[in-house]
Amino acid sequence: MVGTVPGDMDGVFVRVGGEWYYPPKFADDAPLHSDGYISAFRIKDGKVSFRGRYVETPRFRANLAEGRQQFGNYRNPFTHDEKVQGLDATVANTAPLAHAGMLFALKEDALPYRIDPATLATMGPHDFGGDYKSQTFTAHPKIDPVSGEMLTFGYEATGLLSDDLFYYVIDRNGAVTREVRLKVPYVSVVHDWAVTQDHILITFGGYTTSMERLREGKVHWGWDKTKPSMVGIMPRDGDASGLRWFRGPERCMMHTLNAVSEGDKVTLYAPFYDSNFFPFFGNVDGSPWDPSKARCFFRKMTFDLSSSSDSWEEEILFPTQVGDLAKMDHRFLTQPARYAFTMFADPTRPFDEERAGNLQGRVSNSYGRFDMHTGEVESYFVGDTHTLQECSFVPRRGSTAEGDGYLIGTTSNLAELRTELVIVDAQRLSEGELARVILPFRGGPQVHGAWYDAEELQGLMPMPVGEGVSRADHAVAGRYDANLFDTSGEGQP
Amino acid sequence: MVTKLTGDDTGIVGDLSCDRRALLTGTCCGFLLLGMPIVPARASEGGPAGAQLSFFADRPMMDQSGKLHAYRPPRGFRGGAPVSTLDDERLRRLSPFMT
Repeated sequence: MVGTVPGDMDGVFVRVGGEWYYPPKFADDAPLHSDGYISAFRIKDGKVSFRGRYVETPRFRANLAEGRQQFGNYRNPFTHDEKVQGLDATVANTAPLAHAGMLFALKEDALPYRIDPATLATMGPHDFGGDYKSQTFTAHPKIDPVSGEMLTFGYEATGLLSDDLFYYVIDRNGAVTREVRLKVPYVSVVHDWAVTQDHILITFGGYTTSMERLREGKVHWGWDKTKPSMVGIMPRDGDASGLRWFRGPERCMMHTLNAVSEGDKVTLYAPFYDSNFFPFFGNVDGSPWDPSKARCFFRKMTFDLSSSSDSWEEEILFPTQVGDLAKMDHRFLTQPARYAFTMFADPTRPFDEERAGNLQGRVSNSYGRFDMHTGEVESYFVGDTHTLQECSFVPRRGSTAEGDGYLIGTTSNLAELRTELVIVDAQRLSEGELARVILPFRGGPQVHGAWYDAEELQGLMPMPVGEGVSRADHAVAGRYDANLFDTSGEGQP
Repeated sequence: MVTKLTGDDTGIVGDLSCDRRALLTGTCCGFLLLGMPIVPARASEGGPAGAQLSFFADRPMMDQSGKLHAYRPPRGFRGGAPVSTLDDERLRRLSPFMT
């Protein structure tokens, strides 16, 4: 450990990502189909402990039993082996969730998988006592900081390619209190969405699917630039009759930041791409993927509910291209907020090509604090051989001011092929990190992560006896732990 | 980033001004490897196997318990060099979030 971990941090930074346990069945499968891996940095009294293991979904266990990959292309059951037909094929590789004292690993094609917070062992799918009827659950449920409720949804809710989207409200105790069944204009990736104190916003665009393409053996999604981007707005306490669809230009709408309702105006803040971000979800017209259109900016989109127009006004808030895995002070979700935090590639920073390869300009080397009041960007530079993964916001204990806290996240050291944890003061990014915890191995990829205070989870993993990060603790975490040092293959099924 | 560690009862080899890279290239710390078992008995085979060279916090560490993994240099490529020749599409196919 270099530096000092703030003494008021008592909780856990949970990461979920994908790591192929067995190679994909088809070489051009989407990396989003890799096996879910959950890891956690437990932090208390200035010390840090790390643990990680695969999410043992039915798919993972079936592959393990067979000793090979049996599942084909991304979310395409026609390409899976006959022996695993009908099995839950999710990989639970997208995001963690803590709610009602429980921990989950999420992916949008299945129910949440409950995880033991102490051991990270997989406990199984969770249907909220049978009251959650959708077959799927988004990787981006929203916790209303005012009510403590969880608002969530599932798309393709009644099965493969269905145009059903079920919206749910789940109380702070984990009980379903409301369900609304909706239809979408076309079946697409509804990866994220947004909520305000008054409305829900369903956002998607561009990605399409069909039974024809699945029968052809393709990955679930393709990009159709002729499809409009869509935003559906519905009162939180309304029903399907109150859902109003707005249409916009070609946009890749993966992640949102925040949304606010003020009178008849609804404002969405989101880091959306101009066009298709994922080359493995190819263009349906056969044209090549265009990296020049995979540009992401923070956008402000304003919807006038008093107007009969079905379009919106869009403003790019910062000229800086950003990564779309953005975070905010989640205590201000659904309310007017000033700061957005995300990683981005700062081309003015150096990159050590000799040690880490010629990746200049292609790695996220900085966190940014984007001030939506002043337009200023303050940044933290992680180093000249590193690329950052998504950051998470940690409120400073006892403080209620927006953005007062820390950013926590992992970074890949490309020169040494290891993972490092960095903690930065969210209001003083340019002063560098407060602490860096250097894992002596690669901690695995991450899609999303989140910080949870110790009080938010029941049975959180205990701190091991001893000082700081412990290799021994990692070694006992489970036989599936990623381990750079164990190159012998011994102990690995 | 280089930090100096001092020897203590954790077994960290103290006050060495060499890092993993230097260790790999054999420009320093070579004496540590001499006489050390390359593949020591695994902890699962019984009790502690005696001191062995391990690695902690980017520094060589003498593990007196014998329970930690022995340090072995990773095989194959290291660093970002193998992917740096890929164009944007192939790179993103491999790692969409560049992590």
